[in-house]
Amino acid sequence: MKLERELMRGTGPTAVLQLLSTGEMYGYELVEQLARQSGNVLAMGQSTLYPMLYNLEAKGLVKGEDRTASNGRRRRYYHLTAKGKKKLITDKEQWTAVNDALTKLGVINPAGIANLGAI
Amino acid sequence: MRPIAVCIALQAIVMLVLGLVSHQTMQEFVFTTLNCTLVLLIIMVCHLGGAIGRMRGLLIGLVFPIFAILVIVSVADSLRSHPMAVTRTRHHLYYDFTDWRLLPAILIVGYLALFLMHRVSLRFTAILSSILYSTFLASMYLAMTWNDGPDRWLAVPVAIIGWLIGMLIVPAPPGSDLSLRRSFSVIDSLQPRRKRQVLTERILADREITSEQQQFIRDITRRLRLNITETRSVVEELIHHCLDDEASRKTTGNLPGSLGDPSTGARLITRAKRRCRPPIWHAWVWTARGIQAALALAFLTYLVNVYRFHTAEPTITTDFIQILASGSASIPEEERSWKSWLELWKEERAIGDRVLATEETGEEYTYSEWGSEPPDGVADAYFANFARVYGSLAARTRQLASDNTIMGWPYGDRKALDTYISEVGISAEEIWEFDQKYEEDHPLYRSVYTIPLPYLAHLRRSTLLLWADAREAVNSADTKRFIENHRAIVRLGEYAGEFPTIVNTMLAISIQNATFEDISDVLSQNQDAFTIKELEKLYAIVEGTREVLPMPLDSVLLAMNDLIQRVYTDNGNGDGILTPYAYEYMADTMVMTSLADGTERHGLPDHQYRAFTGPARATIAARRSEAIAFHFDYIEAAKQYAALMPWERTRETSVDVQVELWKNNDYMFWRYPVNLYLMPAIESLITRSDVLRPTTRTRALIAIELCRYRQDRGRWPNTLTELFPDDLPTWMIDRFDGQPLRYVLSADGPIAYSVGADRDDDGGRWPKHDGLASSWQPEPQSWERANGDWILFRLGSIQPTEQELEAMEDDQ
Repeated sequence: MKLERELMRGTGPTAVLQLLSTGEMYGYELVEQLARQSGNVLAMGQSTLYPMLYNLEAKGLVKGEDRTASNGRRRRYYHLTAKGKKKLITDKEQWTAVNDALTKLGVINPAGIANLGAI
Repeated sequence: MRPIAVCIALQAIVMLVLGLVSHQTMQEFVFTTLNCTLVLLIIMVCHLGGAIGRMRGLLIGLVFPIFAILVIVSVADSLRSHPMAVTRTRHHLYYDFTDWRLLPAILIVGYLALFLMHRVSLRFTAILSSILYSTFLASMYLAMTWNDGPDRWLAVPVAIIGWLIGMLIVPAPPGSDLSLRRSFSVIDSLQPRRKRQVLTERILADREITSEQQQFIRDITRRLRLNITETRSVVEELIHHCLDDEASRKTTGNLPGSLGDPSTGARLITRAKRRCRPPIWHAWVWTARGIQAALALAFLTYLVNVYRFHTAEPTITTDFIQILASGSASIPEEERSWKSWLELWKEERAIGDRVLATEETGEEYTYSEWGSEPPDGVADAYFANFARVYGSLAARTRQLASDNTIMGWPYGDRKALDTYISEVGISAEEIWEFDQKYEEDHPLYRSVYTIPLPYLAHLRRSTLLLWADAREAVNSADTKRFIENHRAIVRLGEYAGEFPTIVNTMLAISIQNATFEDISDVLSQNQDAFTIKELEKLYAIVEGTREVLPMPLDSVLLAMNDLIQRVYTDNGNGDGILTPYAYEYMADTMVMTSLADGTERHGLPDHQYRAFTGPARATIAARRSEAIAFHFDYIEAAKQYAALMPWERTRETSVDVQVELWKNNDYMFWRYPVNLYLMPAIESLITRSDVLRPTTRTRALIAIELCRYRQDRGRWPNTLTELFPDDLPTWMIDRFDGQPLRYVLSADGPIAYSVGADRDDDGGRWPKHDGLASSWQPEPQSWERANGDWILFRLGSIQPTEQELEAMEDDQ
């Protein structure tokens, strides 16, 4: 499923912060993990990922470091900052609240599946 | 940044050279260098705009310089007479290069040529740019050193520097073999896109990524607007991403990852990367935006002001001429003599200015040029012919002056005048010799400042006529005619003063001074020229004039208010803005008074100059109500000054000192142009009426009284109190120090005198060398030409004789 741009804009940064909370990653690794763990829902290309990463870096939520990997290739690894951790907690709370609201409205049934029959 | 630094360094050398060759003081050096900086920066920006060859270059290359020209010319114009300006000769030539013809031509033509040629050939663009720059700088240098031959050879290295600057600005053509120029191109450093592309290709070289991925990276890089370091970081990260993707595809067989839209990606990456820049960069961006916004706003405001200025029209509501002429306007027409004076004028013109005597050398003498003082060698023939040619005219003039009470000139009523002129057969071109410049529908037509008063010239000539006739009368012992002539001259002065303006009052003073001086001179030369009764008649004539003829300060205010209503708009609440008519009038006045063509000052006809700079000046100029209040305050200060007795005045209370400070202040001159431009040296006018004129009047009165006393007692008085034992009349007070006039009775006769400009009693001695004891300043003058006394009466002549002057030389 391809998300609308506005939805991706809202969910993408939180998803990246969540992934980085598990450990540092480089760009391609993030793309892979996002696609795999979200069932390709949050799959994004380079034109979407890197601007997002640079924005998060500008906000001080993540920090990038250039390092040489074990295979000799030079990569830029991103990790979560303390500010990023706080932001992640806040985002989680907000997404939980949104999820609860939509559930009460019947948009999402308690199992997490959209209630398509109501349309 | 290296090319830009080199370019700036070269320009700095040029500015230094120009400043060094043109300065005489450190202030001039700084002044010239700053001006050169401003001009060269604008030239460079214009060339950059043209050489960039884009639409935004249009803004840089054309609009900015045009706006900047306004600043340069306005600043240069206001600084033209600044004390820090270079010497007159040099700065005149220097400013020729900031004038309207040369600078805009270089900027606009040069810009367009570069702009067009950039599309065709960068090689020729570079050549043209270098030629333009070198020519301009060399010419500027030659102008600065026009009068100094040995400095002119420096124009060669200046031209070379100009050539280098021109070459630096334009980029090398792609693929050219001029690799050195490429690395030094200013344009290249301003357009890093090419460097980004070179960098990208260098990084992509030998990387094992697909051609699609390579093209994606090229597409993103081409659209990035980042510096080299940021670009390198982004490119390498993208390449590594592609390499990881390629490796994954090989090991897992997955499809290649999505690349996305490169233009969107480049835009988002640029935006995001710029957010990562340090705070000072953000501060600079916002500052630059603020400056651009301010410049744009200033330019828009200027455009609005241009519109407002050139569409502004004054509303004339008050006839100030009628107000000023109300005194004579109330007199019935049959009691006014202006028509008779016009007929006399016609008769005078018919006679013309005849030659009355001729010397052996061929020099000719007329009464309008020599008055009553022809040289001794031709005096007899002169006066004999004078009586024959002008005797009857003088008699009729004398008769007319004694018949009526007022002249009653129809001020401002041009139609009545023209009607009568044609009725009596006078040529309108002759009488309106200095006709009004403005048409009937022009706001400045029939203003107090511009209304023609041709009768004043006639009054002056009539004074000369009567004065010469009076001297002829004395020579032929016709004392009765002498007395009547001077009675008539006093009346002529009163006619001149009927219209209470400064010009009229000054003429009135000048006319009556002729009587005072002539009576004094005749009595100095011949103490027995008149009987006691005749002396009493002369005394009555002089004493009947006002001791102090006050300056019409209220009229000065009314005249300014009249001008203000003609050059300012009126919003109905007594306020308004300046209109182009103000600058038109000031320019016309300057041309009339200085006999200079306004074109010489700006290189453009005045009306074109005004059209451009007028809106900017009018923005700073005071509004109507403020201009009126400013002049009111000035006149009130002048009145307070005039109310002081002359000997009580000081430099601290001086009005003219304040006016001089205002006039030398560029901001004040821009703020109150109409007020300051037409602000007379009112202090000197006040003192002329209440110090110099009364003292000249005193000359006649003291001469009459001394001669009358001598004829009555057979001797000169020992002191002046013998003339008036009870109370000294006010005319015997010395206007310079408030004390009684000084008097010395020596073996050579009596000397009555004023202490004069130095306020120091020198015993009745003239200053040495063309003395100026009769000048007046707020405080005692210590300079050599004032060191002496103003002699009011003595036997022979009050002027120093040749022997006395030689004796003064010996005393040195």
